[in-house]
Amino acid sequence: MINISLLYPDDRKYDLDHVPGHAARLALDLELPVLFKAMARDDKTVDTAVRQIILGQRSTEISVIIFRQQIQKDFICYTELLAKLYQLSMDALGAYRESLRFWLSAKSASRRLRSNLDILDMLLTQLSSVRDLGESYPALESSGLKKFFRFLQKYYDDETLHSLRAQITTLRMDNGFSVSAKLDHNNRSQEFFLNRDQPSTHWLKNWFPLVAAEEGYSFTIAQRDESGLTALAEFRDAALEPVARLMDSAVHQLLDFFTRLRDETAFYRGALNLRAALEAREYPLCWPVPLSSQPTSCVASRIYDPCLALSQEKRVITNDLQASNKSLLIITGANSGGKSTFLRALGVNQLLLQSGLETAAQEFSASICDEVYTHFKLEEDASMHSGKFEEELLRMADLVPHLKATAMFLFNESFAATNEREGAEIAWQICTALLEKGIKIIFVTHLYTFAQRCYTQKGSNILALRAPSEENLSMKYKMSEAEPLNTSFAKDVYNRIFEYKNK
Amino acid sequence: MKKLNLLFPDEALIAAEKMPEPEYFRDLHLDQVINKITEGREDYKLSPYFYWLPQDLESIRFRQGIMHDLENTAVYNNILLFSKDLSGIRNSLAHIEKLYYPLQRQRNYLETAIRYQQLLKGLLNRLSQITIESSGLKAFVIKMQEIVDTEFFMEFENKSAALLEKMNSIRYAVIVKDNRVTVQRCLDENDYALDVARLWYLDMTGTSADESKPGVNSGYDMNHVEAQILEGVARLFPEPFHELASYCQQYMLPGELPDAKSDAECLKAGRFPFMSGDVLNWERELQFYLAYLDYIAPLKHQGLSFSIPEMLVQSKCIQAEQTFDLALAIRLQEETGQQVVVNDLRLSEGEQIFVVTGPNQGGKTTFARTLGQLHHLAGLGCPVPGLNTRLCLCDGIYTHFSYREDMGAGHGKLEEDLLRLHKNLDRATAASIFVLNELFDSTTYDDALYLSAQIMPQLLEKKSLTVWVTFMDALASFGPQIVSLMSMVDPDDLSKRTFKIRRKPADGLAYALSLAKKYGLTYETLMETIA
Repeated sequence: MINISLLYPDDRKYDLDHVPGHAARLALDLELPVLFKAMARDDKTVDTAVRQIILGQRSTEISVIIFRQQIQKDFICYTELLAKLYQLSMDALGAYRESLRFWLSAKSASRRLRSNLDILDMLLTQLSSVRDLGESYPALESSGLKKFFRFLQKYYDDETLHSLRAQITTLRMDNGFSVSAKLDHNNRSQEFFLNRDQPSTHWLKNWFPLVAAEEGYSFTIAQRDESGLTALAEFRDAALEPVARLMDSAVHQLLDFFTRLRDETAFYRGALNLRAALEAREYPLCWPVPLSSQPTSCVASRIYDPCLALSQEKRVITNDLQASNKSLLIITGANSGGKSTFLRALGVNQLLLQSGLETAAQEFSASICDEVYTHFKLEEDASMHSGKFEEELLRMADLVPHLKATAMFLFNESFAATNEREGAEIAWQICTALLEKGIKIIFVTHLYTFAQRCYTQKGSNILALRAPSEENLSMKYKMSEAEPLNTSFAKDVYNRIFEYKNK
Repeated sequence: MKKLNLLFPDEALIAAEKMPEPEYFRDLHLDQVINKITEGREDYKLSPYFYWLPQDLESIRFRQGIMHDLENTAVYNNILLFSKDLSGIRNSLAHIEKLYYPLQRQRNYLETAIRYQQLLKGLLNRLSQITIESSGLKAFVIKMQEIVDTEFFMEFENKSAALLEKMNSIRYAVIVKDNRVTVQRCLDENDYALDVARLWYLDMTGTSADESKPGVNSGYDMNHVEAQILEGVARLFPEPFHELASYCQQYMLPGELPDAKSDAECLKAGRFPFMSGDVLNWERELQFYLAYLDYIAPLKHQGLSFSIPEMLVQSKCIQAEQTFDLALAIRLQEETGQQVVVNDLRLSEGEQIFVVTGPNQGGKTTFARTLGQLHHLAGLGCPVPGLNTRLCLCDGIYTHFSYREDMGAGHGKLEEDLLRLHKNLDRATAASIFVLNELFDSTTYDDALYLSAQIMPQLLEKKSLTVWVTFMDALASFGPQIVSLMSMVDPDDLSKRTFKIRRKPADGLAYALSLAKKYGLTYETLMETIA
């Protein structure tokens, strides 16, 4: 019932633990742990939330992305509101955990019922504090936050809270209880339901034995009859189980609300931390513009890889990109020419965009994609050379079943663990199939045969970029549009290093 | 009146209940198959039925008819449900007898009686809407209808229903204050908890479903507070409880076990006056069919084929397309979820002996076992692995398997092998089957070749259908009656076995392929696999 959300405008249910299988690989390839660390600033809750949301709750809907952007803009203005919301939810959940310490063995329904009522009392107090924050911040602009407070004011007004508290008192059953029952197929009492008249609600009746009023049959368990008392306790637990279970759900509903609030505010805290970290290093940031998935487009100015910017002292070079209606970006050029960095910059910013976060660029607009997949050359190429190519294929084959049209695939020097002809042929077959299925590809490669074949045969669909060679110092790490070159720049590097050593 | 038996159409042929396991069971892995089939059905004592080969076409066809009916899912599901429910009723009865509180015991008997009535009528009702073709099941339906139509059964049914209705309408309130418990007539119509839920904005649609969550107040265990509450209810509502007691006196007093043909546990419920002994017997016999079909169901689900074989009496032109080793198929399915490799098997006019050669671990022994298994299963009247099957009505299966662990046995072993082979060749007829696996591999190559060359003409003379797994290529070209088969390797990866057995002159080799194909990464396969 309380599904109000700061992540999705339709308040849908989602499972934060649901992260696609390839996400671990994706995070590693794009070096996302650096990003998560900067966002978390040592807060474990924030760390978990940003990981789960960036890897598992990105959206393919433009409206959701805008919804999140607006909320974050509000939080940028009112950072203390964000801090209070986060703190209140942390406190509520903390108090719940604390109360559990004493109820670890509370399996019986009657004990569970009591502990639930205590917890509910506490959660209602926290809930009204959250609700009251809305009145302290009347100038909020985002539809998400406005709706959030309106919801609480409507469903948890003072009158409602009052009757909920009154009910908590009744259900404590301090004067015994009254239930209705039927005989089940075993002739045991079953299908219990709570009678409206409870012994505690009619204090007058306490003066007269109930039996006197109606035809009935009574018996008393002697205080020293231990097995009788146990049996009575068992009966009480069975009879109160439905109510206890009901209160379980009441507790869970409120806990879910606070858990969700905690995770969502943690995510926005992470966003603010990232913003602060990049601003401190004087890198540009922008609110990206999400575009529909067709036609494929990606336009950026001064785009960079935020992970690299956060992890190295040296200034990171930014790049510009104009790729309208291009479904294949093929990037060739010298080693250490910045190809992988550029590839990562595009990948990470795509993730940020679809998470509803600010992006690492001066301007960035890109088509929404279904998922981002990576296939990167693995660095450890020491021992088993023969199995390596097979390993690459296996990794690729694992991803194939998940692929959908409008996915985005980042390849980094893939299929190069065999000879050039074979590698090129396999890369060609795979890319051709993916492109025909509508998947967007960015491919960093040394496979000249492959790159050249793409360039000549894929026509206007392809954008070929080239990293500058080492000689061109003025253009260092700057990508430029250019046909793939047949000479590997490895020779340059080799010559440079060896000539240097030979001297 | 002639008794109906669902396994043996002619009573004279009913096999001894104590039939031992046939000699070839272990070699053919049929012991695994039958253990698995009868697993969980120990109460029925079914194993002997799977050992005994009827050997007459009439019995085989009678069973094939029932199997064919049961291949219709509707028939199968109904018979399965019947059996499961009846077994549930038997378990309940055993439990109820042990219950301590009479009021509880009586109620349980009533519930069980109603289950039994619904079971019989439900089965008949559902079977009447389905076409049944076999003479066996047709007779079963007629006999069951006769039971339901008796006056005894109809009165029993009416009494039970009326009584249950009365019990179910009882509703009462229990009030607990400290140690005092009061039972009185109930006043409230509605559950106050629903009001509570509404106030807390709880969605109750999902939670009411798990009302019957186990662990809470379900099951037989009644404590004495509950028992006293029940006493109280009985005092508040005396009339239905009296009626219940006299009902149980009439139908539920266990008597002596009537004469039964077997000591199987499942027949013991015959002691209760309301229970028909015939129904219990038929259910046991139907277990033979259910057990087998239940066993092969996951394989069918995997896409493997089964068929009811045509039985050949004189001819040896056997055939089975896409057939496989049943024991292996089940093991693969259970352990790894993989589907077993299937093979075709066929003999034309004049052909008699399969000689299987090729790389080790290539499925040769499996192929040999398959041939043996097929004939045993066909003899039982069961559907067998494969499509378009034609198999021999055989009078005996003789297996000679050499196991590696016997290698050290030396001379004694060879002598023993030859003795047994001699005995079996003596007994064998043109309707017998030999399954020979790496025969004589405890001797030198020359010796083995020599011995084999002596045995082969004898097999040919006996005209016994044979499959012979060997590493000796020469055996494959012994004569026109010999069919040479080879286990194949993956042409793309020499280290990889395909487990395919093909007609091919004995030799061995293949060629190379691209790995991409193996991983489904060619253009064509990608276009098919990506959604």
